[in-house]
Amino acid sequence: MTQAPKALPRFGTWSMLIHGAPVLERLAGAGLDFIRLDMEHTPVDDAVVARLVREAESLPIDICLRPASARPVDLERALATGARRLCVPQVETAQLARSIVDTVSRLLPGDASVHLAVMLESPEAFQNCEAIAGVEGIDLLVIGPADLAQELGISGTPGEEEKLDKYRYLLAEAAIKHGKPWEIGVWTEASVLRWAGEGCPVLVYMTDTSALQACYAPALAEMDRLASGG
Amino acid sequence: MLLGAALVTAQSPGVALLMAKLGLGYLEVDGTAMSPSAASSISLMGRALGLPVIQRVHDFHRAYFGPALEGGARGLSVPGVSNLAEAQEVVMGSRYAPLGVRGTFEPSPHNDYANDPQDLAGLNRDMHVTLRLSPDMPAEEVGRIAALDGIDAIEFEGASPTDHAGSFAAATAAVTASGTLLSAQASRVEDISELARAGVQLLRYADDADLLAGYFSEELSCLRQAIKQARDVV
Repeated sequence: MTQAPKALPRFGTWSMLIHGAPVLERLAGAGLDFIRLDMEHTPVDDAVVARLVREAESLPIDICLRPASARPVDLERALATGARRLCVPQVETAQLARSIVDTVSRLLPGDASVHLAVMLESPEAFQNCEAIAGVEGIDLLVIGPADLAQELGISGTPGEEEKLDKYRYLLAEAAIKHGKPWEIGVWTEASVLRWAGEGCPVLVYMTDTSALQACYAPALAEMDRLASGG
Repeated sequence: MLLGAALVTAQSPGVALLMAKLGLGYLEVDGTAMSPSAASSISLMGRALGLPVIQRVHDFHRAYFGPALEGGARGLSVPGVSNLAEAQEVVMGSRYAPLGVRGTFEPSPHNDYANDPQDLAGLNRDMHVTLRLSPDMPAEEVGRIAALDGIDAIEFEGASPTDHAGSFAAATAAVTASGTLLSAQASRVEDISELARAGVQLLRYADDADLLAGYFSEELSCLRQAIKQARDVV
């Protein structure tokens, strides 16, 4: 076990499709603690992000925005939406992590504070994992398993998950050493229980896309059953 | 019976691709809950995929029809119609001559940017109108509306065709007797077979916001409970 479990983990989900007005209140009511709104792989208008950020301010749910990249121009664009929780992708070195902290501080002087998560998604990032975790101003460590698996050359191969676990534990150990929370993406109850059992304090459960697929699957199966005379 | 997805909060055009891949038969976008450009983007994607997209509009005024249809929607879902005259207004505002007086402008998505002469009869055939009526409407009036040329489907707002009580059963029968499609919403998988037996041909599944809220509520409740139980065992 990497950490004695205390409180229940915070649960979030990724948002790539759902940007409409009624959704945040509904998802807050459903028990989600945060929405990870994606700008790296998702074409979403800045004005839409800004609206969702404003809506979340009056709801018991956080918006955590993934900027398009760690470049200052993309950090500035993300902050301009009003988002004060960022999850910055592709952070490979402590130097880059420090520059993100500095950039955000420069863009938001005064008392404004930003919760900064960084995503480690490459072998180089994990070589520097502990140094990144030690950067003051970094609040949460996140593993990006899909990109990491590609860089490792194991994407879609047998044993991929087991090989990625080594990196999940590296992330956890580095985060715990520096007294910081860490985050794992989970898609099944078994993986939720496993990582909650390991004391993971932040779990991102599925995506809006995979959840929608799961929602329609039973209805479509019923249609198939009726069509086949069932 | 065709199963459709009702979209309220998924406003990326990619959702049409996702739904087509899943095997949904049509989409209904809620034009009262999303911007005209978002509704149009999904409609255009649906058009490119051969997945019909119907747009729910605010009410039966024709001002709402043009932007939806010219934006790419294959059809309309029109609420608030309370009598035959209003239903005739919908036909007049949504259909080209000789059925109606919808009017034409430039080539646009509605006719796949075809140049003149426009095949108005073909465009009329290619377009769909569902009317949403009150379940309290007298069956005779429902029958007259359902028989209108230019009305393709009837749905009763806030009521299910599986409710056989009183005059509503007669209203439902009036729709099926006219040959017009019967549309309904299913909130649960368990309702689908019963709605099929009741004669429903267009079945709109619960909207995406409801589905996602219900899904995460149930999943997270179970997961949190499972975590607590696992910790109790330890």
